[in-house]
Amino acid sequence: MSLFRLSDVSFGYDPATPVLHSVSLALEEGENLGILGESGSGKSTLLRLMLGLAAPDDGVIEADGSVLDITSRRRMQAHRRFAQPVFQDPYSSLDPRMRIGKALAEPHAALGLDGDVGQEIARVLQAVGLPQDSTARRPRAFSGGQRQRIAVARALIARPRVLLADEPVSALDLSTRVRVIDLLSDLSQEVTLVLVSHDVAIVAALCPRLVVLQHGRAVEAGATADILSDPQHDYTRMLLSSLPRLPRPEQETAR
Amino acid sequence: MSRGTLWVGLLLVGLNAGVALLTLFWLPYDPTAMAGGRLQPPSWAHPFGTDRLGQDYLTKVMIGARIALSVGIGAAALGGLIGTCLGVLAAFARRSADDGLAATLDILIAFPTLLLAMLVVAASEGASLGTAILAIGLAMSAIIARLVRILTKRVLAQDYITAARCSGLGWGRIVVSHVLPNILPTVLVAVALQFGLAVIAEASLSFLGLGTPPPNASWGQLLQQAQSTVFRAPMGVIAPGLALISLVLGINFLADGLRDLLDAEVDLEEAR
Amino acid sequence: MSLLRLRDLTVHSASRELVHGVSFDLDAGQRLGLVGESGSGKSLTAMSVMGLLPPGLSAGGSVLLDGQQVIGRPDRQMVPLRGTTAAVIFQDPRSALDPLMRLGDQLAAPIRRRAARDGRRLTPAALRDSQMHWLDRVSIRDPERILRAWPHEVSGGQRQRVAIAMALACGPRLLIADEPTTALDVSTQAEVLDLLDGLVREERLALLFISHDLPVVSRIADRVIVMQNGRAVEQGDAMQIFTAPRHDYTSGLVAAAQRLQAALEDAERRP
Repeated sequence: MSLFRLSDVSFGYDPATPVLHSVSLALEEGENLGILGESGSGKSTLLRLMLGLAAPDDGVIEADGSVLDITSRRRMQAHRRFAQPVFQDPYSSLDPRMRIGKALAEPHAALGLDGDVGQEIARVLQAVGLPQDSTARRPRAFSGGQRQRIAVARALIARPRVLLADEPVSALDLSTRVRVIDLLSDLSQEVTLVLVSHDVAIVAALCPRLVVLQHGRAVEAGATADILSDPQHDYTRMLLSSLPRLPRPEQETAR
Repeated sequence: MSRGTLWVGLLLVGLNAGVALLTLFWLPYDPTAMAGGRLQPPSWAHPFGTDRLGQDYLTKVMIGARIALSVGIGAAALGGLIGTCLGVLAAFARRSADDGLAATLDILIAFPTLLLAMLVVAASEGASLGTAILAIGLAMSAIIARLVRILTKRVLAQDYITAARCSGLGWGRIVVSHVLPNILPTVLVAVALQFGLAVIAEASLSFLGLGTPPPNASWGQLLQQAQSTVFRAPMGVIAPGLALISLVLGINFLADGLRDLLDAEVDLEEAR
Repeated sequence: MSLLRLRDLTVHSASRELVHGVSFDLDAGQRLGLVGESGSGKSLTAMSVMGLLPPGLSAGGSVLLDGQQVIGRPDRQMVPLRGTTAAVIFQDPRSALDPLMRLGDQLAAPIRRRAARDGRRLTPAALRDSQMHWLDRVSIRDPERILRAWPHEVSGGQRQRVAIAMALACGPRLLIADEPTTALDVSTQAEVLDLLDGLVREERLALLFISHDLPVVSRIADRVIVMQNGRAVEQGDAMQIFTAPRHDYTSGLVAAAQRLQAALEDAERRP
């Protein structure tokens, strides 16, 4: 059974200008899915729909085997435990006035989760590689990379089966970026990742499946290796060719 | 430097508040009784002299501090409370309702506070402490509401609000645990600044005869009454005038200091 | 004498030193990349060249721009150097452009300034020609529309092109680009990099390119300075830095970038 199944989903914040045009995709357990697109492709909007923050104008979103009805409180509580978000901007995704311990305890209480809250916080802090005494501090005591780890920890409290991440590393420095990618890669053992990004390298590093989104349409979908080794759509080809690349050491010797 | 401002503000406001509290238990003279000759100059018995009814002027100025602070605190509390509620509601309202509310607030703000206050006084039974508080508080709430609406919208656009929604929090809980803690420091400073304006508005109202009725005369009323005798007894204008300036200046210093302090707290934690 | 010569540049705030002694030379036709992560001091170094440090910061050492000392020069005397000798393009073209002014009018300002400097009279027709010329230089396809448009009406890539056109219209000999493609999409980024590349070659400009993005720098720069915590830890030929880094910090950065690229290239190689 698919974790997510989107069938012909269309959506527009304003009915006159649709952002998504009948997008279909499926997310299978353990197969991280990358959604690749540039600004205006509708990739973040797609994630909002999957989070249940808005309902599609047309089409159906199924999550965990049943239709996602955002008007049903009970269905949504279940969905919150099933799928959790991670955002791009580490400075906007944590409440500056809330201590980390409280921020992590919040979803535990609001979602009525099982288990001792103290133990759960200890578990997620360990999972993201942060010291246990982080709970007493506020976000400003942490760097961008650490904040992103805290945001991942908050998402993990609910023990979700899907993490919906919107450009989770693009605001981070290179060395921090690689470490957060490693973290997400480790977490993929337990939770399936949907990664929205404009950066094909990051998608390639984390996701075996890929959807390429252009102007709200899925122009190409399939196994990441298939698409990248033999892109079918002009847009995918253009994305790959415009990516600047480092010279490889062997090129040096070949010259 | 900012700490200095805060201390001067605290001192000035504290002095006025101390005098206001004192009047509840003790007054130098009975404010309604003749305590000496008319329009006497300052002396040991009457440090601020006497007015044209022969009543002790220090007593009157002391009572004025109580009136000014009551109206100021009352109006600030009322305006802050109504303004915050309205502002948060407007930020959450649908587009059309929000636009309507924003326009209404703009119109209300365009009205001079004094004019609005006069309308309230005219519409009620007559001037009293209550009408002054209500009038000034309502005028103030429009200004606070507009500020709160913008601040709230800014907070609502942050990712941590979306994260809170995905954590299963309802909008009510989100307002209490995320929106209010993030906007209150700024609102507090704005209310403190409005507090100073409220004191001036009250003085203006009573100068026009729309404030509290005697014997609880406010500084504005004292100023108005002393107008005709300003050359024979200048103390009648100087004393309430200085008192008014000391309180308003003190409140503004306090508000400035408070703002620096709240910012400083951010810096302090950053440095840690 | 180099067009730009930095010797032992320091930048300090009231309490501490943020850039500790950076030295380099840059000449016409050369493309120098300044690489580092946030807080490395790369932008502060570049802004010292223009005398554009944020308030509260001051620079020490020596910065010779076309033979003239920049450090300690009063801001008023910096003005003639800005634009004429060196111009800057920033990361966010949205904040570099006035939102309340049509793009054509914004582009006209540096053209007028340059004409006034040269003592030329500028007829409306000549101004128009000049505007068209610069928009053409930055490969804008529909110059008529762009001249009439407001900044918010055009895409981020077009805004950045107009910002580059404005910088070029002053006739600078040094172009400082501070993360000019970071806010752009990958496809637009490639176009802007091609554009800068061509301009350096055709106009004989010197380019100081600041970025945290190693592949981007490797695409545009011949020479690279790697900065860490306010120090230039490694300096050299771009090919050498990116293929055989000597300093540990550079090695770490390059290895991290190579790792990401390897994941991509593995996927591409798979049949």
